Amino acid sequence: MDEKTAIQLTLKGNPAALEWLVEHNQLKAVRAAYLITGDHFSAEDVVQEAFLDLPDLMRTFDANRPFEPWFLRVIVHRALRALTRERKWVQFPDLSEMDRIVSRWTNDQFSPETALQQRELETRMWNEMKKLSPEQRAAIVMRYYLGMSEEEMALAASVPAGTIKWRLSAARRQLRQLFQEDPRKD
Amino acid sequence: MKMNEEMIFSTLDAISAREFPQGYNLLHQPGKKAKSIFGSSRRVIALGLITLLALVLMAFVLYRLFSDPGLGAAHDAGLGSTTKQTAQSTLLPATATLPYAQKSPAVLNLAQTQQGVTLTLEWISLSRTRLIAGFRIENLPDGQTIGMPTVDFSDISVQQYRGRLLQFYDSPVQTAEFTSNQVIGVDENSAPVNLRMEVPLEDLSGQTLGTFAFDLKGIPADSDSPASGQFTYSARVDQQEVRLEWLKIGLAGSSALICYDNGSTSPVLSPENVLFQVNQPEGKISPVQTGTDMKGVSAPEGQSCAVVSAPITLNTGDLQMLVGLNHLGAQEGTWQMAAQPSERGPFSEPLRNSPTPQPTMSSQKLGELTANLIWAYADTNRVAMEVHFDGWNVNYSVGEFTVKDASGNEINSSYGSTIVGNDAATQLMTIYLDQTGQPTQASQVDLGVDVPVYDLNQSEQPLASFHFDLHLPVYPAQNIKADQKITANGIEMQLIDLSLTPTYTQVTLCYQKPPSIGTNFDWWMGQGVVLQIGSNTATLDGGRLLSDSDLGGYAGKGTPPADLPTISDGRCVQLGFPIGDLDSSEPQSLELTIPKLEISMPEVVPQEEIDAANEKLSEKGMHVQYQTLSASGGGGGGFVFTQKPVGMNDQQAYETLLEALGYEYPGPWKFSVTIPGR
Repeated sequence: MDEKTAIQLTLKGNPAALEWLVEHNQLKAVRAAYLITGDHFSAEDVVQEAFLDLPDLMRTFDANRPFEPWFLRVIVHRALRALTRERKWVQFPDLSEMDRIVSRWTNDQFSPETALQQRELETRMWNEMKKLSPEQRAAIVMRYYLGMSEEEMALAASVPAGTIKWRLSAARRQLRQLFQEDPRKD
Repeated sequence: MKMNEEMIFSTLDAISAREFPQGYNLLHQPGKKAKSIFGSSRRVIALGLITLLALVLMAFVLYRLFSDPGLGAAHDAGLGSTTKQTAQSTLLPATATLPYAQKSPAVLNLAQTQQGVTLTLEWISLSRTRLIAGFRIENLPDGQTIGMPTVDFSDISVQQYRGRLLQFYDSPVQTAEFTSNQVIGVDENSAPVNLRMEVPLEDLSGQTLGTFAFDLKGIPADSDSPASGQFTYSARVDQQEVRLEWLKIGLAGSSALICYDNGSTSPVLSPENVLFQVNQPEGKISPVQTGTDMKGVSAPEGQSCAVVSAPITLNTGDLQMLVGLNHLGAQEGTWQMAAQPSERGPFSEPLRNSPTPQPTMSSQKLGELTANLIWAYADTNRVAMEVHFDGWNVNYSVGEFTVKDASGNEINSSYGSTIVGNDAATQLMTIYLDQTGQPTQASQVDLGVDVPVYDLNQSEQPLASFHFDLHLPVYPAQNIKADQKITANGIEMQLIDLSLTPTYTQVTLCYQKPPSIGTNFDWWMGQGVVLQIGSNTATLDGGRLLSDSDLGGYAGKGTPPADLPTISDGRCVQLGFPIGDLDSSEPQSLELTIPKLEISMPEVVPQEEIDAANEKLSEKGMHVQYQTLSASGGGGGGFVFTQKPVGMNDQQAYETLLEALGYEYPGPWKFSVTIPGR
């Protein structure tokens, strides 16, 4: 079975086809949801519910386009919505705090040569991610993990593109400070 | 090295992969709602997601097809045939090479005796990520127990050790099942694996009295039966990680080996801060049981480990055991882990003295699945079959039909199926013989229909297929010339003709088009189109474009109907509704109502149109922005309301916006026709 067939059969109500779509799209979806929600079970909930709603959601899906980018946009949107509902990490970003933490990532001189250093990097980055607002976290995930363009990100997050640019810029600066690099290099 | 985007990706990937490693499968996890020890409720897993998916699809198909009142009314009116045709299932051979074919455990039946206690390693199931083994224990005296087994994979690499679970089952012959979670460096094409399993015989204080050692050679590493359970290995709160290294669920009590990072030289875990709880059926949950005994065990530097015990166990039907901490020294938190045993292995009937592995196929009892065709119907557009399955299982699902003509040639058909009433074992299957919508002219259809049945737990291939030979009279369509014209809001619409079968109605409409917006001229039926015949009503089921003045005239297949008018600056369409005349001999009234026409939204709405709409919307306290995107993965756009009145929901706001943009053109157009009796 290929993706197009799976989509067509899913629209006809074939459970094996829907299961195929789940099997082939679940991992990236649940990982992206986890990076946004920060919670294993919330991430599973988001993805599970999205799959359960898929027959309805697919009424608006253009079957001539690839499934995964569309579905991941759905996941991001729902992960954000779930956080808004749960209000776990939601905190309005403090600009002065962000300026202090900002700009540490992409120009950092850091070479994790051992597994331990890599693990340390992951821990530090994850801790910094948790300090971001959900929207900023979503922006990072969409841009760097899912490789979305800013226009795609805007649609996924249901906000105007300009807003996403601000979120991404703020988040990127904040994360860069993880490595205490020159924040002027944007 | 600079931190570049690729590195950010790989780090994010590693962070998320720790939670959801390669091989994680939402579908194959056990799933119930697990209730938290700490009061809140959360969904731990997604068991039964496959079943849920099936239910969702059933509902989806139900929406699509059995909101089809025409067939239901035809059935109730006694139209069609009561066939009483029964088909025995044709069992399809299991294909062992398919990834979803279950592979049975290796049967070993290796017995050893220590201190008068006989331990029989009955079977072992090994995959890349889990080892599950079944034991039989005989002559175990009071005061002794079986300890947590260890496994040494001598000649292959082992990674990601993720905890062990041992559960005992009471019966005249005591049994136990052991699960070890780890990743081993093999795949399904690798050679069989050699391993050594050691099982300690212990007294109640944990002192080892003897060790059963099994050196196993040539164990296949591709078994996935029985289905594995769930085991949460670690939980982290504020950078403090707690690990559930193993959990032993005895007949009267349970014990857990808990390890945690500890900068202190002395342990900081107290047994009263370790909480045990059981998720029971029907959403119930047992009272919290705190640890009653704790014994420290050796641990690597910087860590502390302890075995904590509590008088709590899993009874038959219980779902999982939750193990959690609410304090670790001075640190408060909600570390919570869950353990759910695997499904029982091939020897789940412990009284059986000489167990025999259950072959996958016979255990599914497909040989007892029988399909009974109890009603069938055909008209010029479609064939319907009502089939009842004896021996139906909730995990079964009907797949895509194959339809062949009397000569055995496959017909390019589309299909659908839905459950009848609340009985999933009874399904209404509908076959549209011609996807172009051209009716058959024959007075009888002779078809061979093959209906595959899938097991959702093994859904790569059908498990059985049922064949039916249908020889059905075809109910003809009734064609009526209407030639009615209605003008509303300056737009004339003409009802050309109608074609009715007992279960379905098609109407041909021609209409002038409202003024185009830019280059957009695709004026179609808006929401709320209703057809009423007698007391039956139906909304629009579908339609197709016949002609359009902007597209150069006729747009259908073949030659245009002779009576299709030419509309300047207009179009003709054919609409379908899932109700018909029920082959009635009495005249019936028909009413068709079209409340509005609408134009499809362009991919990009020009800014000047948005500005113009915003001028109108501002009078209503509304303002809107439009997002656009164009990307490899998809494209489109969407509106975002930046201002709207309090209390106005999104749908209302959107309708208001469409009017302001001019994408909707109100009517209504109403037609009335008397249908003569047949």
